[in-house]
Amino acid sequence: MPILIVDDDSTIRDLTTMLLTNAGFDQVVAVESADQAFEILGINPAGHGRIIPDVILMDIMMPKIDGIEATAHIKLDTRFADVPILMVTSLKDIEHLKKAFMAGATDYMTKPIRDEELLARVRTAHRLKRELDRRKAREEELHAIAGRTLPSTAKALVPDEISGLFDETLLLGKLGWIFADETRRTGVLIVIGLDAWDSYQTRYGKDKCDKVMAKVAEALSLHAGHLGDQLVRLGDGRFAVFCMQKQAPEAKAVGDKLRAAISSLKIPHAFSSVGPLLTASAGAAAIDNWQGSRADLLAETISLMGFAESSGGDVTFTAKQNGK
Amino acid sequence: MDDQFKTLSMFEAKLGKDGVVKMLARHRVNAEETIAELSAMKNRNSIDLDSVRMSAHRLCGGSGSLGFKKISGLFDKMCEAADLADNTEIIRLIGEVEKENEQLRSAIKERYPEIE
Repeated sequence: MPILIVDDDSTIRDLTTMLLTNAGFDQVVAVESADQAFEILGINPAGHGRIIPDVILMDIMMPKIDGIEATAHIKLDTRFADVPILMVTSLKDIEHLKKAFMAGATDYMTKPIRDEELLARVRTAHRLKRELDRRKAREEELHAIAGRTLPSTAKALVPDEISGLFDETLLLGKLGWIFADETRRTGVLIVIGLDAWDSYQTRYGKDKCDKVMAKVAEALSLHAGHLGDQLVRLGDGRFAVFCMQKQAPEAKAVGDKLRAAISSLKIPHAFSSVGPLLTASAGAAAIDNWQGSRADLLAETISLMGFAESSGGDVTFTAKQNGK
Repeated sequence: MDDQFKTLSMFEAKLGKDGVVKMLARHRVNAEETIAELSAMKNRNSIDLDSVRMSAHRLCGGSGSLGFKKISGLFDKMCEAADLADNTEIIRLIGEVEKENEQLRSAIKERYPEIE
């Protein structure tokens, strides 16, 4: 079970390596910088790499390339999309942690290193990785049988230049983690769609649309900033937000709050049938009792958003409101 | 038992003394080098905030993980002072770190004479 440690502090590298090796992890590789991690993973320079880790432990504060940027860069490579990255940081780095989760981090632990916590976190991450691999293989098998292709599994993870957000691949990775861990299986998925976005694009042009997308992404980021939340873009004026700390009864309220964040931007939309300002519709679904796959959950939530928009827009639909 | 060596004793029991001594020796070399750099900044009265923040953050995590709570706490405060760009406080804290490091050096020498 290969583990990669990325930390500029030799004491943390030495200690973590010894504790993990002593606990029976047979291949622990420690490097002191993001550049060295990229090299060993075969990201830069591009190649096969010397290790495909099951778990990565990443320090947040490092010189030159910090742990957040390194995490985002590693997640750009589809080979590592499902590899859990545990951020290792001080308790005071909560703001950085939010960014790290947005970049694709899975979990975190705090310094000083405590051996029981380290081993528990790494073992959990490893167990979930194995479970995720198993479910992913099963999902692909089922989709192959049904003649469908899983969305974007073959696409590279690239942040959108305008919004700075990743696409649904990152979200599906996150949902995979949540689905694989019965103890953490709570959260609400919201899909937000800008109302009458087609006509906005046609009437206002690309430059204006790009500016609006950047503003909307920023507004949603501010409102989806809890630890573990994941905001991604879906294209065509749509975004998805997974709120890990929310539960089913809060789904509609979360959707309404995110829509309100967009309305509060007061962006004129003279060609919308909903009103004079840009509005959004939302679909909201809780994962607590979801029985299907993560891809189906996303598809269902997109459908709910579509129903909300076609019902007149500027509204949030949950599964219950849609009669399900 | 001296409280500041409680964590190291626990690691010794779990990981063996040789490994712990090697790790501690490496930690001490890095800590002494970094503290010397901080002292040089203090003596020149020229504080590089980014460098202080990075060094203090690193030594806070490393020394804290080995159980050296007092010096780790000083580095933690130094990080805060760097975030606030409070050079006066940074200089004061470097002085505190120098004193604490002296004591720590002696205590380590007594307990681990094999470390130069």
